[in-house]
Amino acid sequence: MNEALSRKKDEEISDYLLEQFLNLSRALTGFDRVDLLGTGMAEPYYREITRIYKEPVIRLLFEAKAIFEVYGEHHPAFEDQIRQRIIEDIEFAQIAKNIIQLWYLGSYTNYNDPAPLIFKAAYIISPEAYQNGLLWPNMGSHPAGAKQPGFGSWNLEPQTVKQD
Amino acid sequence: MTDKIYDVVIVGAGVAGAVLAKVLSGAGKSVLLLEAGKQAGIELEAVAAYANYQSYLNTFYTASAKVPNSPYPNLKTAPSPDVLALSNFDVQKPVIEQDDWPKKDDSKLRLNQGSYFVQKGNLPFGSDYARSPGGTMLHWLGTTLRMLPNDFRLKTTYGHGEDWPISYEDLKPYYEMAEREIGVSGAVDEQELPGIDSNFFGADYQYPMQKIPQSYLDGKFVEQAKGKTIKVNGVAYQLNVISTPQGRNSTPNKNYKFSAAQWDARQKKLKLVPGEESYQPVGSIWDPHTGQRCEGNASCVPICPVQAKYNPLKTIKSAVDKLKELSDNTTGGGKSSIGSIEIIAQAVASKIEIEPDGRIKEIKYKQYKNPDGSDYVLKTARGRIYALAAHSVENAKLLLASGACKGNDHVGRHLMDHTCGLAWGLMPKDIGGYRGPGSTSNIPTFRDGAFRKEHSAFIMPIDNWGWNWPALSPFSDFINAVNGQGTPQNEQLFGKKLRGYLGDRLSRQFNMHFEVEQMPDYNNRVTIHPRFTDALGNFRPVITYDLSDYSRAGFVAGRQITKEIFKLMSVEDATNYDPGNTSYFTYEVDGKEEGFVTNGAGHLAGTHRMGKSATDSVVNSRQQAWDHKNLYLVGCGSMVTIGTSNPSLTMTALAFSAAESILSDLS
Repeated sequence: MNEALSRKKDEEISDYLLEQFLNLSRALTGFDRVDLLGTGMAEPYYREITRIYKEPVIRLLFEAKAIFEVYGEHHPAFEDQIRQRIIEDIEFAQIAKNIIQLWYLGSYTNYNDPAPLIFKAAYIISPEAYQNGLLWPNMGSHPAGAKQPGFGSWNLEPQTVKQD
Repeated sequence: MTDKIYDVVIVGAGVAGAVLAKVLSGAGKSVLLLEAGKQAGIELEAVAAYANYQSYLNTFYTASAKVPNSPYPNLKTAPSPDVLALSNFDVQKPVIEQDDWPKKDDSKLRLNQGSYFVQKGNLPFGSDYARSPGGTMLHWLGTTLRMLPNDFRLKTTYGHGEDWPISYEDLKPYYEMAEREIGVSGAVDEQELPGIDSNFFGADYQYPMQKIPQSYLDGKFVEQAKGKTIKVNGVAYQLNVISTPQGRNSTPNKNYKFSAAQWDARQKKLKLVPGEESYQPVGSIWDPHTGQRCEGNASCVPICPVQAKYNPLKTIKSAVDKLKELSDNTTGGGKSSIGSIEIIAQAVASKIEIEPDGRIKEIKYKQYKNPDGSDYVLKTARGRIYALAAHSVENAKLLLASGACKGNDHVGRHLMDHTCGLAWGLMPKDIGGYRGPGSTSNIPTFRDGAFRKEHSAFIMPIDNWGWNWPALSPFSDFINAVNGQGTPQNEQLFGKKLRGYLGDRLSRQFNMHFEVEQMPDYNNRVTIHPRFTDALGNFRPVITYDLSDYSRAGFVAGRQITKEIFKLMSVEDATNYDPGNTSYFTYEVDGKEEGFVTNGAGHLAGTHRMGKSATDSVVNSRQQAWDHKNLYLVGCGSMVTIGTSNPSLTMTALAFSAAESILSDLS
């Protein structure tokens, strides 16, 4: 009975945190909720980032939640708050950059590595993660080797970058 | 199995081996094909073939560095070179001169690649190849250019390099066979090439399929550059930009009239015969309807997910299917005249045994079960004729390991590649990069001309994948953007600003390159040494490599031209040759030293070149070893010079020619 109850609680908590993760991801990536959910990768990315960084991820999510609650995302200071309290924060910076990287490229990089090693310090977490990278459609293209646009499409004028 | 004497034993299931197997078996011969790579890679039945190819694809998706070999297994039992190891090339260590080695200490080697290549020359040899069934053409770009007439008589015409023992006209019929087998898409009437006449293609010649559509950015390039005049070394040139013929499927050309090459036993010639039906694109090996057109995956190198790009497994499959069809439709005694192909994979040829009279007695091969182990069973293959088609480096290794072709010391020498220079920058507007095949147009202007008396010729392909090659884009752009490197005010970007910045930057990235002809240099070579062996005890290649002044001067001219082109097109030049790069070299330009970075093209050639006399070559014009009448050496290793063409088409043509010679010997 107790065990079943606690499991239910865990699920609730994880849904709740996943929602916070999506909110933070929107602020970090510039993509909206539908774009992010459309990749089908929200849960695997959340799982991966908590696997790597553990508790600090939860602290980061609550820090972001506080910024959302106090400022709201349309407040002029919202972006600065994200920058100062997350992007430039010693503890949160590399978690945040990796959250962006997961959504953009499906990969993880050790940003503490002194050399800017593009590939040696990075790994792609799964074939699906690579194929759902958002960097590619953002430039009017598609991941190399996947989501092919069809014969002759490369001859046509590129789709302009859509950003609302 | 070992008792059987085949008509022909072929080593290597890449394009050369595949074409040999297809032509020879099609003419009723029994063929044994030995392949070093994994059994899974040669499965031709649909389910197994599809499963194996999907495993390549998933490996590619998760590879951090998507280098040419990244989808394909690198086996301990048959290792492949690793271009990522080049960063370990140590220029601080001395170049080891031929005569000083092998007495020197191993630790002084400039690069001991752990897995495979050992390098000791002035520059690292920057190309790789794949030891998997289907060979290196699994990851070829797909460019199918014929060599030019003057490429075959370089010494006579310009005083450099060497002449071939055959002319362009001699090879021309085999080029046509190669274009049929590969399935080339291209526009013959757009091939305005320097130094050719109307006989180059011949009256009414067409490619099997219409040209692959040129990219949107090609169109922008043509608008601004075509017909413009630029000056190089005081000489004015009018730039031409043309579509590039490619080995990937497009719309069939109704005017193409040939069916497959057939052996004419009476005339002892291979001939392309007019076909009754129109040309049909060849789809993937697991499903003929997949890959009927290039679908724009933009990953030809290293892997075409739908196999719209030709790979030699298609040739092997078509040969095997044809034999089965013949057998099914033949009854009784007629079956004995049908040829056969037997394929043994995970079988690494390790030694050629030679009779006292110079004839090849047999080939010893090591067959392994576990590709990560070191256990093997030593077996023997016997045939009336033997053909090594294992790759220029592997052919040379096997000859050296066997003490074969010892009439001179040319085996392994004259190793060539194209030395590639890259030039990249930002276009003023979105050019829609990272779409389509890697390159769909080229500037042929500098492929031939009087300048070849002074410096190497080069072709200038226009690239479609942004700065992927020169800067590991888009990955590097991403990392730099979030780290605030090179961004406005060095801001660490995130959110909508990051999207905007990357979208704009990546969509304006432009790269072109120049592939510079390298001369057959006696000192550029592959050799072997007992200290360097792989898990099965087979030799690893030891490589000495450098660029001659003639090639360096060609490289410098190529770079000058890209600068002029960038000015014409208002490209913001971002080209940066890093002195810390292991492939950095300097050359004197206008009285001062300037630095450049060379890249390998993957066009390895020249290790057992053909020639007119037994004193200065390894094979004759039939690709038959001078010293061993029943041994043929087939592939890019037989090339005398490399011209400015990606060599796959020429290699395929040479394989058809060799097949004809072998059939002639057998009849």
